[in-house]
Parts: sequence; C-alpha cells; structure tokens
Amino acid sequence: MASVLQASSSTLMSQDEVQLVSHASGSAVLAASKVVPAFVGPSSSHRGASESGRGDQSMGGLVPALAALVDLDEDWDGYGALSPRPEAVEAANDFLRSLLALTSLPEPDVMGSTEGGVLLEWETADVDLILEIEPLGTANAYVKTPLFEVEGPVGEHVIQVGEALALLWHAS
Amino acid sequence: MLDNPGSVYADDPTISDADVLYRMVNARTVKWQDGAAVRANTAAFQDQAPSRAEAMGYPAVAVSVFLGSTMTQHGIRSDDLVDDPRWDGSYGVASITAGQARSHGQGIVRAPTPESPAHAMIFAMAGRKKTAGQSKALARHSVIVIPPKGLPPPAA
Repeated sequence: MASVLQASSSTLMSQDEVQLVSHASGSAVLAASKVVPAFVGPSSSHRGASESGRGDQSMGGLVPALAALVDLDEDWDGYGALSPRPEAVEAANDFLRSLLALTSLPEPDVMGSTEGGVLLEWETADVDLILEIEPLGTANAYVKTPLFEVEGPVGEHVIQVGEALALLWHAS
Repeated sequence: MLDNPGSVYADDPTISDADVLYRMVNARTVKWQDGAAVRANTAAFQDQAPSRAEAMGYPAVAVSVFLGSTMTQHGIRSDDLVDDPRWDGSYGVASITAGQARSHGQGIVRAPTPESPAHAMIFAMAGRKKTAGQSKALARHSVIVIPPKGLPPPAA
C-alpha cells in the first residue's frame, strides 16, 4: 500500500509520512475488515462502549458519542430505525481506538445506521470517507477523493480507504 | 425477502425535477456545526430497515418524504408537518429536490397514506438499497427548512 500512496500522494506527503500513515491506517483497516465479524461471533464479550473502560485520550469525544449510540431506542430517527447493536458499537470503538492510537486523524462523525449498525464519517473538501459497520459484522466503505470514488466491502477497498485516511491525516 | 426497489417502483415522470421533497429530521439525523443544524446527515437518507418496510407492507425499502407539490395542492405547509402529532414536537424538516435525488440514481414515487396525501418515497433505481455514497450525496444537497429541537448528540 505504501507504494500506492507514494504514487498518488507524492506531491502531498513526504515518503516518511506516507509510510507512517499507510502502515497505521492500512493495519487498522485490515484489522477492521477481519476483526469486525469476530466481534459478533458466539464468543463475543458484547461489551458496550460505555462499559469497556477504554477512555483513551486519543478517542476524545468519541467515547461519549459511541456510548450514546448504545442507548438509542428503536425508532430513534422517527422512521423505524433499529437500535445500534452493541456488537457493532464495540467494533467501531475498537477500530477507532486502534486507528487513532497510531495516527492523529480528525474525529469522524458517529451515527447510528437505520439497520442497527454504526456509521463513521469523515468529510473534508477533498475526502469523503464513510465506514459502515453493519449489525452482523460486515463493514462497507465509501471513499471519494479527487482521484477516485469507490464503494463496497472494506476488505475489497483497503488501499483506497488507507489512502483516504492518509489524506485526512495529512490535512489535519 | 424484499424486492429490489427498482424492480417494484417506477420513477414518476409527473413529479418534476423542481418539486421539493421534505424529510422529517431530529437531532440525531442532522449534521451539526457550531451548535447549529446545517443539513441532514447521511443517516437521514438511508433507506429504512427491511424489517420496517415489511412491517409497513412495502415491497421494498425506500426513504419516506412529503411531496411539496401535493402539499401545496392540499394547503399543507412545512410548519404543519412538525405540528403533526405523529411527530413528538422535537422534529424539524429538511428538503432536497426531486432532480437532486434523481441525479444520484434515485426515483421518486407517490405513496399517499390515510394520514398524508403528500407521502412519497425516494428509492434506489439499482441495487437492493441506497448505497452509503448515495445517502451521503442526498444529505449533502439537503437544506434545513425547520431545525429540529433539542441539543446535538455527544461529540456531534
């Protein structure tokens, strides 16, 4: 992934920056694509974000934002949206914690999805990035940059998600 | 198992691109900036859960809206939407146009209900539901007509 980032972002970032961010974001995204399903398996501990005791400073306001999702009642949008599943919230919590511990990215907007998952959304003038953690553990990504626009399972777009995160990191 | 929206709904050509579509929003479904609601957020334009659509007897998922031209015909103002007792008083209203929705792969179909002759739906012309990118695009077009009441959620 570093080579891809270097190729497309060489005018924006130094080689060291590219390697650092590509390593961090790529690792985190890869982890998310593999870890998210694991969190909804039978052995899941089902800890809520508010119960996990992981108030890392790197998480800033995300801890209360994620905790608030756990408390959302059904129909929280007035159109019958399902309550975010604790497993999805916990997976979002773990993903963000691992990502933000490695990089100083801006905090995403955190929302429930209508189907009981979690939406993490970053938006700048150049980058739109949405990671949707679905209630059953799959994670989808939408990425739009000046160079490309892709959408689909995170595991199929790790490079593009990593590049978007690198751009976000560089802009922050 | 629900059908793909585009296989059961057809974009209504009698709904002009300039027609305004109103969507109810609350503090959870708007984007906040400096304590003010600046537009609807991505979640506001996600299709409803399939279980919800099935429970309501719809053959596919979509986003419910109120059609501005029909509201006008029936003397319904956007203020009347928030005053409707079906909402709890904390809701506001966001709007986009039909043309904006269509420009992102959506169709609009009239779906009047006993409660509202202006009820309509925005549906994905392809696929089983709106993609996150489509929901985001609709949200980005939206403007707040009446802001919701209540405080922003944590860290919003």
